[in-house]
Amino acid sequence: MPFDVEIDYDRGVPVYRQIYEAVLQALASGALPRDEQLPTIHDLAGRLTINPNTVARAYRELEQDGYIEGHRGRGTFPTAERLADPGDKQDILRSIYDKAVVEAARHGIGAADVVRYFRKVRT
Amino acid sequence: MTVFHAIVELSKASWRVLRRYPCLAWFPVLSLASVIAVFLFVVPVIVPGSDDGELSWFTFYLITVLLYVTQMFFSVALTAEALRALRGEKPVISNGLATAAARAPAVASLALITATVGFVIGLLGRSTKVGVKLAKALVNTAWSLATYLAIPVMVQERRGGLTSLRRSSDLFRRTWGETTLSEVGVRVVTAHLSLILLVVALVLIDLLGDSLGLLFVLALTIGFIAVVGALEAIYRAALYVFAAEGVIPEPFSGPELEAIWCPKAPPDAPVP
Repeated sequence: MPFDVEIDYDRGVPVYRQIYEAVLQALASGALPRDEQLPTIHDLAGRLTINPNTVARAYRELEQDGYIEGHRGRGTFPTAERLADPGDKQDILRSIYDKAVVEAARHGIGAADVVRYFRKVRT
Repeated sequence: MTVFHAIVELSKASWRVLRRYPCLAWFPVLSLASVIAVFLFVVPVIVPGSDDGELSWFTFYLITVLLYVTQMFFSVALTAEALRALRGEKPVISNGLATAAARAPAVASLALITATVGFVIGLLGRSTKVGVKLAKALVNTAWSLATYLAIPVMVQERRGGLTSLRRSSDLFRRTWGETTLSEVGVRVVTAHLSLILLVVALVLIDLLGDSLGLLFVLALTIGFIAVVGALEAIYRAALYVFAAEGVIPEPFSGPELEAIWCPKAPPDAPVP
């Protein structure tokens, strides 16, 4: 199944950021293999009926953060090195965990419940 | 950058879009024509001839709702095509009307809510007390600001009337400066253009005589409504893109304009 993004306006997160997160999630889960080209800016903007600048900003930030890279004439692809680095992976997981715990705490949910939920989702 | 300078820059950016896609100006004209048609053909059916000429509250309310539905239908159509223009696609009048028709239940519910609130605020305005008049002005401004992005929300996010209003007030918390600037801007631009229009009208009537002069004034007024209505909808669509998607659409970006846009994240929102 090709890489896709679903926009959830109720999250209150800007659309460009949702695209950023969706690409990261697809990279982490393997839904977006390293050799697979990302949709072009106009293609993805057209599919989501959003402004092309929104996709462009998400791609620009992903590129700045080293997750994807543009190849002249060939398109945009995931960056192999960035994902293969186990140190980075730990950092990413740590950041995801921290964010989840902070977000859960805002709703009065404890860290233990977050961990339990992650385990449940995995199984 | 001063407020006036910001208003001028935003008007110029909207004007660039309108100049590229002049068909957008037809929507306010169609809206005006439909409102006149409602007055000519529908209102006489609702209001049976009466000797005293007094309208009941309910009849007055019914007419208000009808006018809001008509006007909102074309606003939705215009906004859909303004958003399309900001995406760099060519707007088409029939596409806009089709989008509005597809959103008919949401258009009707949003019109019903806004008409009801407008009706209640209107009732407040009948009081001669200064305090009540001040309260009316405050409520009116707060309401128009909180609902400012309801139509683009309805078009883009395919929401119903009530959820569009809720989402609009959420987005307002992130863009209160730009939204207020827009409200002020539209009033300033409208006031300036109205003044120019009035002077031109008086000169035309003086030069061309009553009937020909009035004909020109009518054409000018329609042109004025078309341009101001389209410019406002284009800016509103751009503001929505900024608030919801987190980017400044193309004609509104650039060194002069970027100083105007400044998002304010609500306290509980994730940092973009």
